[in-house]
Amino acid sequence: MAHLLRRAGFGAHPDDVEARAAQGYEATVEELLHPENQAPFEDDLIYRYVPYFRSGTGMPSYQGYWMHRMICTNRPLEEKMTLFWHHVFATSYTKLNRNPQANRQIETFRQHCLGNFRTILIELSKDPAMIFWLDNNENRNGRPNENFGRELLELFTMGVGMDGQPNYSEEDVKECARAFTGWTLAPGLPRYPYGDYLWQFEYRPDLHDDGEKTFLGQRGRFNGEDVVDIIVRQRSTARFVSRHLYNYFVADEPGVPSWQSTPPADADTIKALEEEYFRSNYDLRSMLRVLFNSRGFKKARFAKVKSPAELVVGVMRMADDYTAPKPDIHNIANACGYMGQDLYNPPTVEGWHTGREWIDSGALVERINFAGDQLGDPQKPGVRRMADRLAAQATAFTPDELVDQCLQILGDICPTDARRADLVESVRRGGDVKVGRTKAQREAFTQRVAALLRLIVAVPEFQFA
Amino acid sequence: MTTAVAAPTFSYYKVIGNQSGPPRPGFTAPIDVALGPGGLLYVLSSYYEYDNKAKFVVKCNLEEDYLGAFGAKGTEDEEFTWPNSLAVDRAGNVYITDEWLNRVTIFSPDGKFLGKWGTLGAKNGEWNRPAGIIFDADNNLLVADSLNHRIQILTPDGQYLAKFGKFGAEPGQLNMPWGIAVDRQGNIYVADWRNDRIQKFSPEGRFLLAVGHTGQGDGEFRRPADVGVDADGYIYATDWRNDRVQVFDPQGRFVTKFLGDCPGYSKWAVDRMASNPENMKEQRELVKDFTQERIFFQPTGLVVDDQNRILVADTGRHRLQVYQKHG
Repeated sequence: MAHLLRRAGFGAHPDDVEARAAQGYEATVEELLHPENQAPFEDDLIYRYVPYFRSGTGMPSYQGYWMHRMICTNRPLEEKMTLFWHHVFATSYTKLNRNPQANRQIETFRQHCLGNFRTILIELSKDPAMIFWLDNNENRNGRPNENFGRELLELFTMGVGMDGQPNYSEEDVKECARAFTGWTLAPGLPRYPYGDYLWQFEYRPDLHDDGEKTFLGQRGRFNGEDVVDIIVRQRSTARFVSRHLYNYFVADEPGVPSWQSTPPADADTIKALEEEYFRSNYDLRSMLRVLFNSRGFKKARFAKVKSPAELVVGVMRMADDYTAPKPDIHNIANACGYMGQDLYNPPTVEGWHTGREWIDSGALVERINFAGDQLGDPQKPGVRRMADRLAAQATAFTPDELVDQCLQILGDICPTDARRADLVESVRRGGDVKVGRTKAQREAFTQRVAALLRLIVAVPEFQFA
Repeated sequence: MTTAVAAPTFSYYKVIGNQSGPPRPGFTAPIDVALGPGGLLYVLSSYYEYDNKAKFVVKCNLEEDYLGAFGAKGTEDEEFTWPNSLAVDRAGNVYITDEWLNRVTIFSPDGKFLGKWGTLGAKNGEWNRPAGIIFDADNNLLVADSLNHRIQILTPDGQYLAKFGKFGAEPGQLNMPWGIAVDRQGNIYVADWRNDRIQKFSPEGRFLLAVGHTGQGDGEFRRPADVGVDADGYIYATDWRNDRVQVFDPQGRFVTKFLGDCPGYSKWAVDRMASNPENMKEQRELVKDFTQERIFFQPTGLVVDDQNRILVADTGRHRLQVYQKHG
C-alpha cells in the first residue's frame, strides 16, 4: 500500500497507509483514480492570505501555489498526473514571459489529466502557452513553421520509432505542420499598466493551408483535429503513452530518444497498457487502472528515483507541518528547483531527464538536507506522530528494533545490510532507547526518533520510490 | 400613504493606479483602501512575499497625487507578513491588521511607526487572524477576528470592550468574517466570508439582516471580501470570487452590480506608458476586445466616501476602480 501511495501520490504518513490498507488495495486504486469523488480543492484560503497566488505576475506565485496544492490536496493522483503532463508536454515559462499563461496550461492539464488522450491532444494544440512555446503562431499557409508539428510527433505522441523502425517520415512532419497552420493566438493586451492578461486561442481560416495532405499514409484536406485522430490510432502512440506512464509510475526507463532501439524492460506490462489504450478508446484512467493493478507495478518497489517534486512533496506531507497556508511556501518550491526540477521550467521541450539523472552530488546534498531538516525536526507534527506511534508499541527498543521500526514507518525502506548496521550503531552510541513516562522522557524519545529519521533520509535507498 | 423614492443611479468615476510599487507610483495587488482626513487615501497592497523591498501602504488622493509609501516585509515592529485591512482614526493615524502576525500595527499619517498590539488566542481581547478593521463613531475599533469567527470592539490602544458572533451558518453566526462597515446609526455590516453573505447587526451586535447566499446569480456571493454602506443605507459588497461588486438597498434587495468599467489608462499609467509609447500603442492597436482590461479581477477592499463615491481595490489589476452614486 505504501508503494501505491508513493507512486500514485506523494507518499503518506504511516497512519494514513494503515487506514488505506484497511480499505483494500483495489478500492484504494479506484479512489485514487476518481479524484472527482473527493471534495474539490479549496483554494479560497490560500488566495485570501496570499492574494497574488490567483492574480500575480511573478513565477514564484504560481510555483508556490502549485507546491501548496500538491502538499495539501486530497486528490494526489490528480496532481501527480498534472505533473506528468507537465513533464511530457514540457513548456517553460522563461520563453513565454507571461506567467499566468504558463499556469493556465497547468490548469488545463489538471482538468484533463485522467481523461481521453485525444481530448488532451486537442486541448494541448489549442493551448496558448504551447502555441507560443513552439511557435505555432508563426505557422501559416505558405510559410509553415514545423516546430509544433515535429514535437507533436516526436515528443508528445509517437516518438521517432519503435522496435527498431521509424514511426514517421520527414514528410509526415511537414504535412502535420501544414494541418496546424492558422492555429494561433488572438492579439492580446500588453502587460502594462494593469498586469498580465491571458492569451486566447484563435483559429484563422485565412492562415490555414486547406490543401490536400498525405499524413501517415492517409490522404485528405486535413486540419489539426484530423491529424490528431490519425495519430491516436497509431500503435506507436499506444506504445509511447504506455512507456511514458511506465517510466513515471513504475520503474526508470532509458530516455525517450532511445525508445526506437531500446525495447521496454517489462514487455508484458507495456503490452497490457497498449491493449487497454485501444480497448478504452485512449482513456488514461483506464490505462492507469491496469497499470496499478499489474504485477509489474506491484513488484517494482524502489525501482525508480524520486523526482525532486516527489521527494519534496512527500517529505512535506510526511512531516505534516504544512496543512494550511503559511508564508513563504514559494521557498519550498524553490527547494524543488535547487534539486533540479524547477516547476514550470523544464530544461528543454524533452522535459526533465529522469531516473538516476536526477541525482548529482549537488542535488543529492540538497535532497538530504531538505528531508533531514523536515523529518529530523522533533517539532514537526508528523515526526511527533511517528514517535507517538512507536511509543504506543513498546516501552523500550533495542537499537535494531528502533531502526527497523523507523525504516518501516518511512515507507518500508530497505537499506543494504552495511548501511542498516551503521544506523543501528549510531543508535547504540546514543544509549538505551526508552520511551519513558514523564513529559521530559517522552520528549527525549521523540528527539531520538527524529535524530534517527534524519540519518535514514540520508541513506541512498530513501531516494527511491 | 407611501412616497415613491427614485432608485439611485450609478456612473463610473475614475481609475487610480497601475501595477508598480514605490518609489514609482503604483500598487501591487492592493487589497484594501481607507479614507484619511482631507481627501487622503491609504491603499494597502498585499505585495509579493518574495519581494523583500515591498512598501505596503501607498498614500495618495483621488486626484492621483502620489504622496509616499511606508511599511516593509518582515516580522519586526513596522513590518508585515499577511497585511489584510486598514483603518484611519480621527487624527489620521493608520491601523493595519496582519493575519499572520496576529496584530494591529499603528502608523502616523506620514508612516512613522507608533505601536502595535494584539495577542494570538481566543479570550476577550485576543484574536486569531484579525482581518477587517474600522473605526465607529465613538472612535472605537471594530475588528473581524476571523478564525475566532466573531467581531471584537476595542479601544484604539487595544483594550477589549465587547464582542459578538460565533462560528456557524445560522443567522447572526459567522464563518471567517473579513470586511466590516458601520452606517450612520452605528449598525455594523460584516462580510461573512465563508458563509457567502453579508450580515447586518445592531450597534450592540444583535442580528438584523442577512443578504445573499452561495452562488453566481444576482444577490448571490462567492466569498464576499468587504462591505461598505452609504449615507442612505445602500450596501456595497465586493463579491471576491465572482469578480464583481454588488449593490443592495437598505432592506437587502439586490439593486445592481458593477463588473468593472476601467476606460483605459489612469494618470499614473499615462505617466508610466510615456516611457515606451510607440510599443504600447502598436500592441494596443491590434487588440479587438478590451473587456479583460475593463473588468474587475479579484476585487477585495471597498470603502464609500461622504460624497457617495465607491472606491474598490481591484486587487488583480493593481488599481482602484471608483464609482459614483447619484440620487
